[in-house]
Amino acid sequence: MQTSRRAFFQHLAQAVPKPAPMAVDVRLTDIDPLQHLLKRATWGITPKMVEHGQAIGPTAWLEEQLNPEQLSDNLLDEKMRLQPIWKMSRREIYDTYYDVEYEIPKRIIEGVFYRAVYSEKQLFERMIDFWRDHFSISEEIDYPIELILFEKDVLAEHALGNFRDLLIASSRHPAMLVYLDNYVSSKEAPNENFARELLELHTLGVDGGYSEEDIRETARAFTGWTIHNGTKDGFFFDAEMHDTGRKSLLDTTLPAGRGIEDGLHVLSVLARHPQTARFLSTKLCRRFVSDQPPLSLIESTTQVWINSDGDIKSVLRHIFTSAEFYESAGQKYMRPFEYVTAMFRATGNDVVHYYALEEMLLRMGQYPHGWHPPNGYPDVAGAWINTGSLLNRWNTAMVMTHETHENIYDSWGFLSRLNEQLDEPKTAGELVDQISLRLWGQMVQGPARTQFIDYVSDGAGANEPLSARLYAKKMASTFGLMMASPTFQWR
Amino acid sequence: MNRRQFLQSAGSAGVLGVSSSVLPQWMPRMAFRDQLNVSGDHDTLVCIFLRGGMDGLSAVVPYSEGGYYYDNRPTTSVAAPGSGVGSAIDIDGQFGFHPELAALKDIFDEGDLAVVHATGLTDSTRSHFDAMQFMEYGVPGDKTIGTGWIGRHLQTTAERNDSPFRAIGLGLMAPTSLRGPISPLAIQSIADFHFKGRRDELRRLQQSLQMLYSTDAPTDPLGTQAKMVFDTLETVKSLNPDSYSVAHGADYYENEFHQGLKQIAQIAKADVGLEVACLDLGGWDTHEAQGTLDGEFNILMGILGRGLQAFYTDMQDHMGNVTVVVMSEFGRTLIENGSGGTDHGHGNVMFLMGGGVRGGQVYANWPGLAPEGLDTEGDLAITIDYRDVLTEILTGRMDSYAIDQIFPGHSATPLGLVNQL
Repeated sequence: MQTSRRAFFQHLAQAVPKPAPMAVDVRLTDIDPLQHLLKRATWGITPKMVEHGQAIGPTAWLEEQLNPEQLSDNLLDEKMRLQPIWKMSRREIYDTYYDVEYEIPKRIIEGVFYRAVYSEKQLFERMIDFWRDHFSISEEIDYPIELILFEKDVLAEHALGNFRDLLIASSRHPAMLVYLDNYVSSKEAPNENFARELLELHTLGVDGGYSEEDIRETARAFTGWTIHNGTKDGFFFDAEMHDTGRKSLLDTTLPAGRGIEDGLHVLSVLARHPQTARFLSTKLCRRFVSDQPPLSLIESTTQVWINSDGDIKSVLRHIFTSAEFYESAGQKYMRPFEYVTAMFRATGNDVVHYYALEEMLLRMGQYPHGWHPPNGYPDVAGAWINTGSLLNRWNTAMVMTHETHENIYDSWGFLSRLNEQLDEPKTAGELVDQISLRLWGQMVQGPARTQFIDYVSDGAGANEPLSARLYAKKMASTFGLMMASPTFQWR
Repeated sequence: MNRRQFLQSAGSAGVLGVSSSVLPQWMPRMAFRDQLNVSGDHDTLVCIFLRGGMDGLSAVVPYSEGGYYYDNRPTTSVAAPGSGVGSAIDIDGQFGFHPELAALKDIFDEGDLAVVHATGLTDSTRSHFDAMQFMEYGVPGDKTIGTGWIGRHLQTTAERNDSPFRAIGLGLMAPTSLRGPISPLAIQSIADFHFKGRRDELRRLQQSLQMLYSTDAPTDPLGTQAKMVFDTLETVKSLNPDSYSVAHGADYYENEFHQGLKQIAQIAKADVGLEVACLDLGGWDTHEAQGTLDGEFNILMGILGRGLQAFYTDMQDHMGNVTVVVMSEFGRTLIENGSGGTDHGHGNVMFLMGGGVRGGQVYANWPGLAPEGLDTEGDLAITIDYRDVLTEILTGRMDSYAIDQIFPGHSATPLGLVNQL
């Protein structure tokens, strides 16, 4: 019995031919370099951004994005007027929110979402998101106010700066010190949680060649890095808690008798470590290029990282101008949050009630600080593609187009701006092509287009006149169908 | 062709290729149930993973170790049985259950619950993410195999069952252990599993999506999932999840873990081909203020214990063909850390529950907590490879005949944990 079953299975494995290569048009691999850059470096393309990119060219567009302080953000400022928390000082936030701390995670979701959808500084926002995953902190931490301060003072402050500064800012921030328990770590009772994740997740990577002993020594170096409500930024080095003994880790010796210098020394060693350069370069390539980035690109990026001493702008410029990047169109599966932002940017829809947005993001399974372990939301398609999540995507596309109204009084969750995206389409084909331009910046061709037209025209074809009746019946659903289609899942 | 190549080529073409060439591409598979071989000669396996590193020394308390346990655990231990409120519940004169596992004592005494102690992943890693990956891959130290131990079990028994409900992961993502060529169904809630959209266009929209995901993406991972969605929609209609009522007054709470177990019970009873269900319970990474008896750990123990009890009660009439296994990526340090917590340790405990489990006893080659018995870092040693436990379940209860492909390179030591089905 045993042999026959196995033989049967082996026979199957050999008899069935290998799968055919994927139909090309599903993932829009044949797109121009500007479109590719815009899709990867933003939260979804908009007609305005495509137009601007075409006017100045991809190189100038990238430089604009790498220097976001020069970009004005009028639309965003307008939207953010009702979210003053982002402009408040540490003290003001504590004064205003101390009794309603539970509001903080919601305000973060709301603010991050609005910035992703409406900011001109798209790459900057994408990098904040990258670091939010890299230095992941759960919404469930004990001092949620520190979480929004971490967003402002660590992630936004250093998103396009130098990695060493970012690493130091993260390591001394109360949110991180509390989340990874370092604030209670003392010479009598060192807590190794922060030390472990600092090496494993923030710098060297799990295969970075360190030992359990290195973790324990690192933990000793950070004893006394704690929090205090009387300091300017909440960080406090408590010399009483610090282990002043000699420490030895990663081929480095920390002499006895020092204080806060121990931890700073470790951070410098880690920030400049070639293993850190490689680990971070790999992660950036995975985020912006492909789930399994070409080795050649990882190596060249690592070299740029080392040569620039961890200058994040230089590294991004290298990645976004590499040949490997331009060969990777259609290879990244949109994560749920960017799937949602891309739909908002393409449709122009707006949020009426925050809770509708929260419900949508929760159902989709990704929102800022919603990942509770310290390793951040996964970045590869395999983690996100499954049955339940695919149905969620389809349903979310339908909510975006079906459960929305143009009139704010009829709308519970979202305002519809679908009509405004269209330029009086006269036929089924024109409707599909116009939506196609909004979603992808180009016309979709081939079987996908045929299917869309088939839906709009109920099988009559591209030239079927788009009567008022047909428009009313099909327009929103066609938007929904096209955003639910496989093509819109990849970028 | 070596084993790895065999697994890969079988995975990329064999199983999926058959169903799509034999059955019309978009015909719901459930419509063909009577032609399918859904054999009944195996259990339904429920695999519960406690994420974060559960403190097994607080769950199944080695109180007979005396000072070797209590001196190292001034604030994170459970008192020996009979020492008043919050003391351990004796199970065999050597170990005791955490008080919040009281609900499991009856099941243990019934003989339907077994404990395995000083078990786990033999690899020395103390990284959560590596340990979970190795454990769920089933190949310690190998980061490249790419399929999980359950995934390979499903693959090597692929001819047995073609139901979309064959393997389910309750939650947002399917766990790594289920990864493989047979797509598991990842689902958060069967009650919410329906298709939205403009009512009078629903049928047309659904048809268009079927075409888009089939004609455009025949071998794309999305195409496979889309097919699963449509198959599952059909089945869920017949399940009528809103009308489910639990049996024997089983008491599930509102939390995600209990509701997950309840859905597993419902799907198992509906007889739609469920073989394996995976469910997580997270939050066990108690580095600070563990709250063994008065905080986070205590709460989680209660959720775990009462959840298992509710499931056992609900499934009572079916328990003869159900095996539940509970595991975590590692145990925690023997010596508590001074923050009232424990750090990443090594050996841990596993639970097995089911009618086929030879329960009522603790299975262990107990190494003790005296210094000479500990592992190299001074924590509970592992004397039973967790794969030995899983091997017994697979071969004894799941009719697995390819264990050498599920745990390649591992030769299991028999433990006698289950009655052969």
